[in-house]
Amino acid sequence: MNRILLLILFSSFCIPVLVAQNNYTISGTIKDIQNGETFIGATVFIEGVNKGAVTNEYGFYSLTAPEGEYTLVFSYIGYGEVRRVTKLDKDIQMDVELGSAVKELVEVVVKASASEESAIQKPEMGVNKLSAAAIKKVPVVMGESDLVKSIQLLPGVTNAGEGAAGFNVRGGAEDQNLVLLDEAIIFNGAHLFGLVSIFNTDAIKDIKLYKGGVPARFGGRASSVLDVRQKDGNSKELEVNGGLGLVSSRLTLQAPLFKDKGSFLVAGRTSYAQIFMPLIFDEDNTANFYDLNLKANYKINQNNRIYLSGYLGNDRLDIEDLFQNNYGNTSINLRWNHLFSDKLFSNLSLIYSNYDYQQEILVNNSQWQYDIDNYNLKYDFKYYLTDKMKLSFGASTIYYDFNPGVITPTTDDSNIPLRTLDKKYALESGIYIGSEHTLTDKWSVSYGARLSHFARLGDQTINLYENNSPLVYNDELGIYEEGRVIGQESFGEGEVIEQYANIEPRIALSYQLNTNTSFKASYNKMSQYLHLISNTASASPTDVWVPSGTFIKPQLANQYAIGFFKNLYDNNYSLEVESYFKTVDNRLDYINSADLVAQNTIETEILTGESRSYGVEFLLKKNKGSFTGWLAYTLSKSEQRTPGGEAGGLGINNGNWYNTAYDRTHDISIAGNYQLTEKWNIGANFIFQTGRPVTYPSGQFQYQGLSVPIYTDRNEERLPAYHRLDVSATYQPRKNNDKKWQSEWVFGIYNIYNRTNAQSISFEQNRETGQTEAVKTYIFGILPSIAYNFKF
Amino acid sequence: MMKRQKRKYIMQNNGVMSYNWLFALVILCLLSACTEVVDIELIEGKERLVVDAAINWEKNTDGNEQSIYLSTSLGFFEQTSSPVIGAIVTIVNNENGVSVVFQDENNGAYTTDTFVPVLDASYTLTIVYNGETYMATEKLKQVTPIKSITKEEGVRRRVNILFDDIEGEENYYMRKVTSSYKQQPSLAVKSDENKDGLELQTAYGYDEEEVNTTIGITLYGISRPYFEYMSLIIDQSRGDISPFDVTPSEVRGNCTNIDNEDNYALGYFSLSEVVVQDFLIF
Repeated sequence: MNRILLLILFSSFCIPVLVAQNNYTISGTIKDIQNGETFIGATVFIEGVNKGAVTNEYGFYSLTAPEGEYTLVFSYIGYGEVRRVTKLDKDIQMDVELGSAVKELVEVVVKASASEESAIQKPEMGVNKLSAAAIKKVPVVMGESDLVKSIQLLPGVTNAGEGAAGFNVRGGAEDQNLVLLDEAIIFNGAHLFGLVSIFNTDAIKDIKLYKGGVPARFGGRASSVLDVRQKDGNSKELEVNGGLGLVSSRLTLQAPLFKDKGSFLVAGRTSYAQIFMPLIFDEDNTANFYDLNLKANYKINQNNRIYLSGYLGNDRLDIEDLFQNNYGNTSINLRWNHLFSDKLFSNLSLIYSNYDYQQEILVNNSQWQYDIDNYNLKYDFKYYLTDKMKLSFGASTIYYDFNPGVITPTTDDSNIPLRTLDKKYALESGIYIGSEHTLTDKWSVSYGARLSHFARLGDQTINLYENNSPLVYNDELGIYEEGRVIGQESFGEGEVIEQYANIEPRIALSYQLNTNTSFKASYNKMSQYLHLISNTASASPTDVWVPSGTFIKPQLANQYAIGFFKNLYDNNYSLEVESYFKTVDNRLDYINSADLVAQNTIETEILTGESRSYGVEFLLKKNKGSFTGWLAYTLSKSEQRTPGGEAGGLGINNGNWYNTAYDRTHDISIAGNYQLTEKWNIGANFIFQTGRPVTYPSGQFQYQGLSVPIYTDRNEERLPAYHRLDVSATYQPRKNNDKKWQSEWVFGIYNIYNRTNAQSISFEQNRETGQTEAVKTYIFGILPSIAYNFKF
Repeated sequence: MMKRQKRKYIMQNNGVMSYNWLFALVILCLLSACTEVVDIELIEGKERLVVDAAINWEKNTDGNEQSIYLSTSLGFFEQTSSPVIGAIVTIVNNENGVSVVFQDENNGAYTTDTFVPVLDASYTLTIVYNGETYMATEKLKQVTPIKSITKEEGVRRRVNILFDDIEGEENYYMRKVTSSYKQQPSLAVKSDENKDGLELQTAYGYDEEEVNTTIGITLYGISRPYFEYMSLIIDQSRGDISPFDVTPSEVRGNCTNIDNEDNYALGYFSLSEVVVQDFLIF
């Protein structure tokens, strides 16, 4: 199978080279006329000829056509078209700037341009794009616009509820999402345990979420890729914007550098939750976060540009006499864009990122600290071979340094022993090649493959277990126990402990029935070498990432998808229907009664199984007019199976298929936005999700004076359904185009009908009656908010 | 030697195990979460026989009087008890074949005054109930005397119980503290891993109300399977079930149904030598 694919791949690369003759290339960048910000996904079309190109992540396009005179049409969503008549008798370099269709503080959200049709033809599926402007229009809790909350309104995306940091894509786990901020890997995307995400929407240009059909240039996660791009900074003039909200305030500064040769952006955000905490609680508790986004770019000449991006974020939590906690992400990224020719674009990235976590528990006088460092070198190429074919290829390597931590007693009489968990090292590398290929007017295909390699490196000492089983089934008690350690094997620095390699083919096919209708199909294979093992309902900062190695194999995902895409009523509406089937091999699950916190030999607490998910997603969008919005519905199933395997026994839930903790049968999202008057804009969204699977007691028995609960199988029960309605209203008081100062007020009500959505249900004994009761914990009831944003 | 690290925490006032619990607390505090009592329908589990058969031989006594309690499992919110009456309960000493038939007291208790305890001897319990036969085999394990019981001075309210490990073998112990202020007894288990033949310590944390009251302390010698079983039982019976705890699951005991494997019993058949001592918390 793989060999055949590779053969097709390479043979098809050769053919178009032979036929390309007497053609010339137009290349350049497409930018915003007001701030010089490059556009990702802007289009250039040759009028009358079915030829076009789309700008890449750096705003670059390249288009090849036979000699002749053409009208070129440049466009981008929400911006006016620019037409250029050009005589093409040599290679041309053409940078174009587009002006906003409507001048206002934030662009009109989803205003389709004529070139939107191209999405119909592109063999791209399972992809959702959102601009920072669109994200800002979504009503959110406490008025803090939020990227991660916004993508949950898309079909196929859910999360574990309020106060949960991550998100789940197409029945995948939270650790199966590759989250990239300007290409740097983010390990924990949450501030205040999920209340807001770490992405400051003022500093973000746009995001792209790949739920399936993931291009070959991405690798390392089994479910999805969230590609977040920061703004480059205003290269025309000084721009300041900011906002005051209930939770945090923001300030962003952008300005040109070196006489139009470059620009920079600095965006800062800080919470003042510490003001509110003492109002709610008697004690002197504080919780706060800050983050800082930095970006600078410099154009050396027409063919070379360098970018420097940085992110620094931190959360701090202090519960007096109990707990202190500190965590944050840091990333720094140096990139060099180089044009080898007007057809060969390249980007070299050098990225360092770090995730750091520490906590001090005062009651038992202990402290725990851990961190992950990674160093990433990437070289990516885009080769605009012909107008029908675009190649991308490249290589990347990431060195990981996991420091799972040290637990230290902070006083002499602490009952916590000093424990140092083993450091772990790994090298993850990949090379890829991919092609976007227009076969005929109706057929286009994108295909490629990624060869990934993962090596777990020393120095580390690995336990050897009897019969090579870190886990043994105890037949009599029906439980899994740690295997017998019969020795240890030491590996020196840089020595390979275990390695894995996988070929990951990716293919997507599109058939265009007419200009408004297309059918698509895709297949992709993905390998994931890192695992986040958690036994709590939602990912928490204390969950530890574990690299594959001697006992833990990489997760291998296969996803098949088909889709139907249609633009309706002159592109006023669009309908997307996609159906997917996904399997993941080597999906881990913890054994019953596992102890995962600060566990040095995690292999004694887990079993290897598999997971599968399938579903159908509907997305109906209204793209134009004063009312815009969408209706998304997903019907899906996500299950896993964890047999005993070599450890013996039947495994979890007797080896049967069971619901994953993130299985949601129904997921409905409705998001709407209405431009009421010139000054007032109204937004609303409604969410309904089937309750999350949980494990409840099904009985109890008396033994030795103890009352012992009996449980159902894992995830056999469900929490009540989750639903809520949010509304917001944005008021822009003055719309004076002569004055630079612009401002807006955003009023919002979260959960307007005050649904107390269960975050969890626990069982407690009532202190007065002694009766056992079910107690529901919910996080937000109805919550009004107000925010003020400004720009000058 | 087995790695038994994780079980130790149970004796260390839940030390590291409470990280998750604390984390939960923090989240809840932080987000000013609210709670309310709700009515929910739970799946009703299958009714099973529950065997509470702990043969305890107090050191320096005859140990001839023994009781076994049989009941059935209950619905989770039920508060009644459901004693099993009419079962046939026998224990056989597998070394000498001597068998003892327990007398049905018609209240769930089955008693005898002819039991003969022998250290390290293997015994088999047989229960015939509803036409099905349940069996369990265990060994009677030795205990060592309590050396000292002291109240710890300082900020923590703790009573420390010290005893010597039996040298040259793997040993497991359990201690029980009963207090008139607590509804359920406090149980903890301990292994001699890395401490063979040395002094072992177990601590009981008491509440302020328990000052000037007497607590009853029992130290048991137990087998390794029983140690494993009780580790899980203690963990799960800790009272409140928080969603941030390790996902719990059903724990089976050592009583198998030889006629119908799926209809297994809950509970455990254990045999221990025990020492009992009272202590006044002053």
